[in-house]
Parts: sequence; structure tokens; C-alpha cells
Amino acid sequence: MILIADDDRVFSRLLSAHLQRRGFRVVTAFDSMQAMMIAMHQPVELIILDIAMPGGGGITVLERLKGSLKTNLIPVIVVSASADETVLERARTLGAEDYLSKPVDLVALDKSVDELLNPAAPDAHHASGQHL
Amino acid sequence: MQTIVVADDDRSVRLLIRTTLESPDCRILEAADGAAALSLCREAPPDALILDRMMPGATGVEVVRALRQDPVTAGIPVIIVTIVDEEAPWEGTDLEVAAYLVKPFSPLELRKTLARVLLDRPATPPVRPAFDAASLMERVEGDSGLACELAEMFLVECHKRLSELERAVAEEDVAQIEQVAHLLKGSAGVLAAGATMEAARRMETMARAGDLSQAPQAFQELRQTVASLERALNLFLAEKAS
Repeated sequence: MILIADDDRVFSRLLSAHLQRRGFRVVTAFDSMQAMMIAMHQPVELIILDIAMPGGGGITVLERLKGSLKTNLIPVIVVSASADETVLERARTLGAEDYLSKPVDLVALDKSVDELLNPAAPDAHHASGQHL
Repeated sequence: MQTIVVADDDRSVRLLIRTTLESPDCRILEAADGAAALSLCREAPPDALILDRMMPGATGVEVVRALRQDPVTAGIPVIIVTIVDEEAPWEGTDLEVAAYLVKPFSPLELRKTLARVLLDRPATPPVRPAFDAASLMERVEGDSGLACELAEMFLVECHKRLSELERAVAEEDVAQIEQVAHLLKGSAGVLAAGATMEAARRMETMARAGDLSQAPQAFQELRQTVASLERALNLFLAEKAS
């Protein structure tokens, strides 16, 4: 199951339709609190997290996810519309596995998702996202 | 084929202009008031607008101001028809008009004025569509149903966001402006709506820099681009539904 945590409902719907088409189960959260609740209580295997979410922001969510024993092993792909180096650096330090800039290239997203969910796959080392 | 919109509440003036200008190469569209003129110009920007200075509903100044605020209609040359040689109402408005025609004018005068305006017209940049339908369809992998769903979601969301933004601008709430503009920018990006994305980005950048001196104007521009986008999305939805 993939959790998409993004307050942009249009973007979130585009991503979830794409991932569902690829056969993934998808849950969505539109704010930080919802995202944390789902990550803690549902069998989430991967999180796609918008770093600019309201209610504490994506960075806070990332901090909590990586700081909790319950969720710290779930890989996180951070997405953001503004490639702010300090934010990226912070996401990297906090342990985000990958970073993709908006508008998200779905091919790059697929590669990143495949690599993080299935690290042993032969294509796993060719992901085109900007890795953290 | 040229298209000229003639906006005058006096039917006989519209008829005179139509009779003078209409030809197989020149189509005349008539509007009896300012609102109708704006609506015609927004549907398909004409080559020129011949506009009566005084009309019920919206004055010529108001019509021109509305045209200039919308990127889709901003470049339309406007010929103002006045009763007396009166340019005063335009002073200080910084609204550009291409020419004035003083009633009563002869058919020859009308033809000459229009010819000069069309000749003087700067090479019009191609009208940028409010969103790129082809990019959107590519993004949704050809799924028309999903494209329509995203368009409908945006149509619902954008009103909420514009109200939030308007309030934030009035309250000079920098954090909220940045947040909401960022969100609108993201949603517009999904729809490949370049002009709205840029207008939202401008607001976001202003808020981030803490400089709200231009925020009310930037908000009006954003509102105009969103209005154009709404019209384009509604057309897109109607096309997909038929």
C-alpha cells in the first residue's frame, strides 16, 4: 500500500490514478495529521510526501515518520514544487529516500517506486529521480 | 478572415458599421452592451473592437480595463467611438486605445481608421491557451475520464483557494498567501495551465520575500487567469461530454 500525502487534491488524484493503474493500493492524506495517522495504523509500504503541506508541513511529518520505530523503515519519496536546497538538505538529513520535483515525471516516479519497493529488481539501479 | 466586434447600444450605429465593414473577409459580431462585448472578446479574441464610449451597464473605460486585465484579451486593439472629441475620460487611466472615432463619422473615415489600426497592430503573439489539453491528456495517459475528473476538481478547488487568497491578501497574511498560492500553482501545473501557474508563482514569491506592495494587483491578475482557465476547462469538459 502506498500513501500519498499531499494537500493538492488534483495532483494527489493524478498520482493515485497512475499508481492504481499500475496495480498498487493507494491511500491519500490531505494534511499532516491524517498522513501520520495512516502511516501509524495502516500497512503502508511507501510514502509519497509533499514537503510543503500545511499543518506542520511535510518536513515535520518526515521528522516524525523517521523518528518513530513504527514508521522509520517505510521509504519516503519527497515531492516539492520548489527545489529549495535547504529543504532538500533537511529532507536528506532526516532520511528521505528519494526526491522528485513537481510537476512529477511519472516515468521517474515509477522507477523510484519500483526501486524502493523492490530493491533487488534488475532495473533498480537505474532510477532517474534525484536521489538523496 | 478578420473578426471585428462592434459594441454600441445604438442599433443603427451597429448597422452602419456592419454595412460599411462586412465582407467575405471581414466578419462583424455585434454587442449591445459592455458585458456582451467582453463575453464575445473572451470567447474568441477578435482582430479589433469598436467600442462606444458610453453604454448602459459598463462604460468603455470599464470594458477596456477588463480586457487589459485578462491575458487572453489584453492585446485586442480598441477603437473608441465618441460623440464629441473627448479624450479626457481616458487620461490618467493608463488604458491604451488604438484610435478614436468621433460621431458622426463617414464610412470612409471608419474604413481608414480600422485599416490603420489593423496595420499598426503589433504582431500579435499567439494567444496562449489557458491550459495545454494535449499535455494534460498525456499526463493522464489518455484517460479522458480522469482528465475530466481533474478538471472538475480544479473548478471546485479554485474558488475555495481564491477566496482564501483574497482574505489573506486583505489581512496581509504572508504565510497563508504563500501556502495557498503554492497550492494553486501545483494544481494548475497538473493541468498544464501555464499562465495560472506563473501568476500563482508570482504571488508565492512576493509572499516569500515578505513584500506585499504589489499583492492586490497580482491577486487580480491571478483571478483573471483562473477565470480564463475556468472557461477553457468548461469548454474542455463540454467537448469531452459530447
